[in-house]
Amino acid sequence: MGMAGPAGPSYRPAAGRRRRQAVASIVVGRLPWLREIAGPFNLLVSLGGGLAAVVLGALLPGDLSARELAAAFIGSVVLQPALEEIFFRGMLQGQLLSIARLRRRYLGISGANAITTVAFALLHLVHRPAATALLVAVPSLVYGYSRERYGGVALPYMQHALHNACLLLSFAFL
Amino acid sequence: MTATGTGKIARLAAAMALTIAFAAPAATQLEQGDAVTLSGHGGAFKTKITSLTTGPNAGRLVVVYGDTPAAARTVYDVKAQSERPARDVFIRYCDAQSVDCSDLGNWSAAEDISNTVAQSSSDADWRGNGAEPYPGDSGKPQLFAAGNRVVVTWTDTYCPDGDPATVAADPVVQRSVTYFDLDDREIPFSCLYVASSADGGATWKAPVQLSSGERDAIQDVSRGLGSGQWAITWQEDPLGLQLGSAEGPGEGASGARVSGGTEIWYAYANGTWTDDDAADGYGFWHPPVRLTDNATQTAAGPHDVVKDSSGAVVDDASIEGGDAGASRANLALQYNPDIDSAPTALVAYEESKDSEGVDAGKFVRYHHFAWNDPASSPPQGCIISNPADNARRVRFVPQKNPGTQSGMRLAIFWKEGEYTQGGPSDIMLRKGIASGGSTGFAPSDMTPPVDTAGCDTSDYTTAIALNNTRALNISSRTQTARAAADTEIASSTLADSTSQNFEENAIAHRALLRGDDLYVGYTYTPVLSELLYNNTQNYNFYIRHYDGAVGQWSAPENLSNITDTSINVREPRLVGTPSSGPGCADPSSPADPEQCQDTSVFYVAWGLQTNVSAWSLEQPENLDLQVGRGEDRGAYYTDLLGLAATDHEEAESQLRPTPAGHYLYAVWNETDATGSTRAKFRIVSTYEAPEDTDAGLTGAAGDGDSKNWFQKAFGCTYSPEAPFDPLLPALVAGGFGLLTYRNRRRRK
Repeated sequence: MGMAGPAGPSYRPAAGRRRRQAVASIVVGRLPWLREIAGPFNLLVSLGGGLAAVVLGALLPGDLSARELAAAFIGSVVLQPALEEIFFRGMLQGQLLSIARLRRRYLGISGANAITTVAFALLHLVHRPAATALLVAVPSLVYGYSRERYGGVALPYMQHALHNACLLLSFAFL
Repeated sequence: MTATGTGKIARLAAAMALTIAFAAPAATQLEQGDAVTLSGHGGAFKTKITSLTTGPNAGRLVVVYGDTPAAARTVYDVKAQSERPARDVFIRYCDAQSVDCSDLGNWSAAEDISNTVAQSSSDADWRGNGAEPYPGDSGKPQLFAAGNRVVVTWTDTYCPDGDPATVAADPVVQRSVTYFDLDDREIPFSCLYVASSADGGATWKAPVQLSSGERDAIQDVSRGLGSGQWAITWQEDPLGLQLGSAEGPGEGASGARVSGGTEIWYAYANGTWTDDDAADGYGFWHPPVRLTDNATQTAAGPHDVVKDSSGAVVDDASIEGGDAGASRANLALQYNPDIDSAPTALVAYEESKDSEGVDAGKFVRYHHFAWNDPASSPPQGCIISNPADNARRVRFVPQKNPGTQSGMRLAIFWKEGEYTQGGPSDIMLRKGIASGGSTGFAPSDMTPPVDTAGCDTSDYTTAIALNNTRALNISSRTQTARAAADTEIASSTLADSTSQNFEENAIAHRALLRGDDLYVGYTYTPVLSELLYNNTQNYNFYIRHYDGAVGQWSAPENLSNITDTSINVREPRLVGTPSSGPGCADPSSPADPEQCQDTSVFYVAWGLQTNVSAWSLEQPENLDLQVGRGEDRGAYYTDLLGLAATDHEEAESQLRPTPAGHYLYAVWNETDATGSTRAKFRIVSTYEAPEDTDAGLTGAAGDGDSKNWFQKAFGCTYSPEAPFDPLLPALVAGGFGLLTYRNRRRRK
């Protein structure tokens, strides 16, 4: 597995190591370097997306009680992003990337990323309005790109959690 | 991967699922204890409950109810328009702080404190058999407690003392009215009684007759302070209780429709509860006085025959009369020595417009005065409603300490509309703000403001020209109304006139004031005519919260969510927690945490009743009683609990929570198939259940419900409807399983 930074997709572990890796390790992928976390792309995605979430949250009417805020924080910021990134970016996108033609990119979006995003949006339709399902397609593509760029789900998870936190706190306090 | 590896994956998935399940915060829900039957005679009526929060008996529950003792003879019920056994007033108490009140054996024996059913003070031809002794019949008991003192008032047809102003038993002056519309039934007038206990309801002084029965008394209210200052208001109609036109939601004959000359009366107790004037028959009560000035002339025009105690028709010249009549007074007594120079009595009532036939509606008038100086209040009071509208059913919620941020010390609210009784109305409200040394109780403290320069007038022409700023319209366009800040009121539904969306109707208004938080509840239907005639609409209970600290009104929230239009919500309750008890002397380390007041908690309840068309001969039937608990200033509501949900008819719940609000004591009346009615009691308690993030009273978010919008629209892929949604964890666990299986296959 490449560990040298954002040179390109590094989604596939070397054949020799694959046999010795646990499934959890394959799914989660590599952990990012600090300089990747502080790199321009991640900062742009994290802070830009965070700012957009703040604006969106401030535009929405209503408020949350302390109890609701705590519950929403655990659900929306901690648990759900982790599960979603493990399943969609880790498992689904990771497996799709093993198919050569789905690794091809158009405007930076791979086929695997696109399919994963469709699945991600569809799952949101189970419990959410259609508008929300459509809305999550944009960050899903970004998280998918990050997953391919950094070779793991850790950074997409951080981005996802930060965006949800910004949205939640803005909704609650602005 | 080995089997051990597979096991690790399974354990990981299980751990994740458990993490989510246990990470979900617990949510409060309600559960009920056993129901206890408190009454013993099958004629229970208007059961009330209170609790003592201070004094040596803090925590004690006191219950009062009407019931029909074995000795009761038959009387005629003008309201129900049927014959029934006469009633007495009974008291029971239970020391909930030390015993289980779900056990009937822990209640005191029922004490008959009126004891009039076997007595008679006048003869009346009430059933066509000629004049015969009419039994004493106690009306609806009213109960109030403060400190260790408890006061019960009621009206009664047994009025033996013709002049309570003297100690001697003076000749009876009680009159009667012969109702032409009720087959000429002659019913004696009622007089007012008060009974008091200074030891938490354990022993009672002999009841004091406060009025003579020369006029018909009804609509009594008593309020007081633990230190002994106490007051009572009631109304007296010189022509007897009027039947009403049955256009409102009630049965009529409740005292809402009155004759000209009907006055609001006021009596107060000296602060020591000692009889300081042995020459009168009022005990420690001062002689009652009129608060209003409506009896300006003698009776005139057609009216039902009024007779004296000898059966002779009373000449109009001997009957009080007037152009205006006052009714349905409400009373409060408040005292904060840092703000008030003396305990202050607040009185508000509705009064017919003295318009000589130009306008048939009513004004809402308001008084405030030192509790022992009613003469200091102008008899007109101050008109606080829109003089052009018909305003009625005024209520208010005062508090001892003003809100720390808002200065809010009073909210006064009423029904108002363009139409006369029974017509569509909105709930209008003014706040009383204490600021700059004011008490918050004066008309000049009200916001939106009233025209204080001339509001205390009896002259219709002057009254109609008053420049009262329109009160806040709480109920207008309830289903689409949005949250609004104080600065946005002008562009919100709160600024609507009552003619906006005039087909809607709001009734049964309730309010709760705790610090900077004001809650206003009401039952509402979007189209009254469709409710009344087609039954395609019904009443639901809505609540609005005003956060005075930030000046923000919430959107109306439908708490009952009855979508079946054949069922109405009625008799709603909105009850806050009482003040802290002695077990919370040190709130940081209370001896009994349950005695520490949680002002963010309140209870709501209502009854359900079949919605019967006004064209139908069928009578509405009472169904179940429901109760719910609001927490975190209404941000969360428990699921509804059937407070009383049997095959019997249940109605008229009364609630009393503990200061911390984890327990609720409730009473209600339950009528079985034989028509026997019992006073029932039950303890409702709270328990912690896994939180349902969007359940509770509100159900699906309506147009005006923005509170849970985040959880509905965002919050990712979990279900806001379930405490734990297994979908995504199951996908993750399944994915791990598949990948593990494939890995093992490849290695083989």
